[in-house]
Amino acid sequence: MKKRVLSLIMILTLITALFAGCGKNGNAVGTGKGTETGGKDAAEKTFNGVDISKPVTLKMYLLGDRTADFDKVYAEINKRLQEKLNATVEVEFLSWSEHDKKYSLLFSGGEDFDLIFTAAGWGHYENTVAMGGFYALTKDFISTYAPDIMKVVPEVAWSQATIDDSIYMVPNYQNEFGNNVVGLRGDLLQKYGYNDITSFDQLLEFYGKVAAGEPSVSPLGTQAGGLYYQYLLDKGMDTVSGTSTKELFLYNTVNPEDKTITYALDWAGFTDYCKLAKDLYDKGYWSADSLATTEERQDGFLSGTSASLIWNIGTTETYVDQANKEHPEWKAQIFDTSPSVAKAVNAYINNGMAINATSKNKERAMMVLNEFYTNPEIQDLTSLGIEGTHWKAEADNQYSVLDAESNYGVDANCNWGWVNMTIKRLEYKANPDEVDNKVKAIKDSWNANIKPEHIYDGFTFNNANVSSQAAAVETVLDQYYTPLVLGMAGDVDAAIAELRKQLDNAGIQSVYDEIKKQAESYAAGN
Amino acid sequence: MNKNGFLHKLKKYRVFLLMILPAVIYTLVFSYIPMAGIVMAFKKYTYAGGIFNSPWNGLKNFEFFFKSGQAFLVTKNTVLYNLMFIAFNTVLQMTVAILLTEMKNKHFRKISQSVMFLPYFISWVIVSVIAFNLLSYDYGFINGILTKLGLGKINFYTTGALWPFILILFNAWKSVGYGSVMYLAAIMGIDTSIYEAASIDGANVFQRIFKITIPLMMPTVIILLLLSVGGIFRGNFDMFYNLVGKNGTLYNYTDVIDTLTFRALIANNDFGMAAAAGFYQSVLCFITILLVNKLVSVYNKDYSLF
Amino acid sequence: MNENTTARAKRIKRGLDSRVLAFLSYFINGVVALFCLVPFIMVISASFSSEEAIKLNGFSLLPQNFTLEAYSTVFKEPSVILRAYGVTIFLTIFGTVAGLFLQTMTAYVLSRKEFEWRNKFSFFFYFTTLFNGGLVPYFVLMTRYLGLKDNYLALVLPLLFSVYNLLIMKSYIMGIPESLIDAAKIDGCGEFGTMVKVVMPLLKPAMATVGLFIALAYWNDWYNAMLYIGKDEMQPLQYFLYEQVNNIEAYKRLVESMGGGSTAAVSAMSMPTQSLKMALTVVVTGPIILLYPFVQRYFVQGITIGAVKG
Repeated sequence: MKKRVLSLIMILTLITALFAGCGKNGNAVGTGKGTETGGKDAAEKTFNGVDISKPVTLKMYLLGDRTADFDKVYAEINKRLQEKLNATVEVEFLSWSEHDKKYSLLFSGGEDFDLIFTAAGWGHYENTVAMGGFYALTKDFISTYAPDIMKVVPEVAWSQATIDDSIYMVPNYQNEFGNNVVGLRGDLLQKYGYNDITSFDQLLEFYGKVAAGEPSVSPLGTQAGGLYYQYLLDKGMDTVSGTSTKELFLYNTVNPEDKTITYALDWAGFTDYCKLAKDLYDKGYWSADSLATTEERQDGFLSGTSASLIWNIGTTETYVDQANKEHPEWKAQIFDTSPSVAKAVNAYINNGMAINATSKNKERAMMVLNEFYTNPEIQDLTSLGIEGTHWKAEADNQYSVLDAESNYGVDANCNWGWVNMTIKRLEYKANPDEVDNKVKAIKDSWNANIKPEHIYDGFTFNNANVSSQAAAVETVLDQYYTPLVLGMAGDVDAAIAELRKQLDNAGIQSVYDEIKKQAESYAAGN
Repeated sequence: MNKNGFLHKLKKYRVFLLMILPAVIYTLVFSYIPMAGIVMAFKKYTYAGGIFNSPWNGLKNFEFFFKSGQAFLVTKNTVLYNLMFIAFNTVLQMTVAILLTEMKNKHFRKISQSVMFLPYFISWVIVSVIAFNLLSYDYGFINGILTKLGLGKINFYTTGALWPFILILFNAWKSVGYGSVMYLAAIMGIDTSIYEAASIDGANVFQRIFKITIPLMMPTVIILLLLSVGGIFRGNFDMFYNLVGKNGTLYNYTDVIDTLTFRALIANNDFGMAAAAGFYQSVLCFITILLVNKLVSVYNKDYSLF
Repeated sequence: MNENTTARAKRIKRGLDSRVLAFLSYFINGVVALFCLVPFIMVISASFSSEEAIKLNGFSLLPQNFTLEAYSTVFKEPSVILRAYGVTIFLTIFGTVAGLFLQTMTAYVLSRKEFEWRNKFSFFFYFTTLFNGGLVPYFVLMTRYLGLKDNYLALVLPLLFSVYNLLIMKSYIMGIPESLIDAAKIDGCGEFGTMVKVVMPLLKPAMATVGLFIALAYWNDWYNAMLYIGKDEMQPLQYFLYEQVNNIEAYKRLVESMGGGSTAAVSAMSMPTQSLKMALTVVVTGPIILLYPFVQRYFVQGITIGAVKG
């Protein structure tokens, strides 16, 4: 077997050598109209002063599933890449069902590839960095091979992507707001005399009326988990990003002067919330099945068993639209329960692209990223598909979808790693309805009131030095923390004392010390 | 002399050895070579270093498990659950198999045997949905009946003490068809002339079952028991994870080694720690099976595994 | 029960003991079968129900808002699913025949008392069920050293040999009287001949059982396909279906991660997932359940030493 593989490699190298040496099209993927990469032209091919005379095919891994028209669209992209960079990309997908397992196996198995999608938190970023899977990108390297990216991506995004003084991903650049909004049933609001919900307390008040007066509708159904985040938002607190900290470590995000990292159990606000939660749970604000439900988050809201849905603005809009389509009489609408609080922009490392540490074409891979990121034509192709087939250009750099059942979809092809809001098109809505207008109003108010940057917004905790303790802490949380936040742990003070004891045994102090140490040195270095 | 003896035996057993050779080669390649990966339990795994060149880190990978404060509890739970599953399933499956063979109506026998196989095909993900439909506090079938009868509702999902029963029932239900087939095959292998002799001697049907069928099934029963005992420190992750999920209020009763490890490592996918937990289970299983196998071979050498 | 015994049983006047036993066997097996049947009927009903109805009312014994939506999603591309069926059937047949032969032959050797090293070899095999190196080394072996990516062998080999089946088989062979094997030896059969001519015919129920287990393992395997098969046209049925559900869930996740709000996203939201999962269960289980009676043919009691003469 090994011999066969070896001889195959030999033959392949011979073929490539032959191709590289002769004046034919160097690439099977390229189309007939591609530029000649002949000896003479090729010798003059440069990018930012770097010689790119050797044609390469880069292998890129994305997450999700290949849509029907994906290859058609990427053939278009490859034409342009071939012309400009003498490179083409060949895309493989790790489907949703397999990426958890296979992502790490790609690196373990020594798969030969160049580019891969990654994301902090949900897309294997910290783990892969910890195990040395990604190539460390120096600022020099980036400015040499991707000068345009350097011009676009703000400093804070690079510092978010920094782990132990090195950058391992090119983060995407768009201002997504991480905070949630609340979708509510308009008919119930009317019934109890509310025109608008403008504060957290008012929201609870409305929930109370629903709990008391609507036997068949629960205020929150089985989805009370989101309420605590609304509470944190209201108090101006945010969680420290990084793995395995959940909501245990907080900082005061609206006050850039305040550089303390608070351990949730030492914060009075946490105890207050747990007591509030117990009170609300006992009054029936949410279901006893909250810990065990097999429902999806939106099910209760859509089926009418729950009066509200708490999620990020885009997702809430999607489901509120769906609810209104199926039940126009509900008049569902979206509310921001803390309108006066300045909102934080999501970490840019929520989506990004990384280069494989063992890639043989790191430089060219970076150039290709540069193109994806900053060439408007390619940005449109990756996010919307082919103009005239999948979408139509509208005024003001907007687009409208030509075919709702499109075979490419909008932003559905794992193009999230190189989203660049400076050139990305927005959707044109011909006849906006009430929900559309409300969403636009909320987004405008947020954009007008982006919270000043806090030094810790860009800080990511790396738990490598305390991995045993972090793993042990992780085992405690579901059992002692989650029931507490859902008000289902009985006597609050006793439950908090128990949680504290369990966390102490697991080694939370070392985790806390490590976070403080890293945060201080991060703050000092920036 | 000794060597000679070995060569002599090699020659004597050459046909046996030839017949067993494919399986030996297969096992060497697909089981023993990858077994080298056990060293990952004692290493800080990195992609660049791979399995063999990553740095050693002693027993650090085992720390999280004992730090969690749950090590003893989950180990105990794992063993107790497995013992209960083994006992309950063995009795149920043997009973079903024996009674199936005693059924006179061929069609009823075949149909019920096929029907019992159905749960095997329902994945645990779907079972968890069925369970939720049965046990839910607000909409559950059982609580619906209790309400109709004017009794109070039971909150299954916060009452841990009920879960051993729930899990045993679901486990038995899912494996009854699959498991009883093995006992059926054992019964079918019994020489029928023995039964004829017994009925001429005037034994009644129950005597026939207890004096002939069950004793003759024993080799199969014991092998299956031994195979189960060999996995006594491994929890059925799929089942526990899907039926209990993230419901921490039940963990004192339902947390097993595999679910604890899964939770610990979900945030940082650490191969070393996963290998360490697996190694801990392997060693305990190994010790257990050596002891139990020894006991069995003292009782009857033919029944032992090795 | 074979013909003689039933005939004899009819001739003997049935006593109280037989009647009690008959009642017990019908009652207990009836109850167990019912418990096994009802949830499956719920699964079938759910596969014909609308997504909203399942979410609102949970499961029921009859379909709610009868619809074929889930099945039309499953069989969206009949040619693809037929090919996947073909792949699975081929793998199952090939793997079962090869695996059954390999395991029976090995079990036969391990059961022969005159083979002094049989316990050592048994241990050699059994040990692999206790210790394993985990996924990473196995994956590296399969892909890097054996080069089995996108190769059907990657789906056949991992399931070809199971120590559990081997030891179960061994216990069945142990039940065959030594005298039969000795008789064959005297008649001049070699070890291999004895196995094929004498032992295998007596092992029909056991081989049917183990064969069934191997076949089920192949039939239900999507995991190896996930690891080693990248090409769509090589996908076995289970993996193909598994991917379909995930496709839809992926769409939903997309909408969440993207902030959604676009028209394409909304149409994806109302796709069936619950009912689809149920339909997949039915599609995968159906053929096997229909085949099961053929396996049962071998569960016939009727082995007597008198019937086998050398």
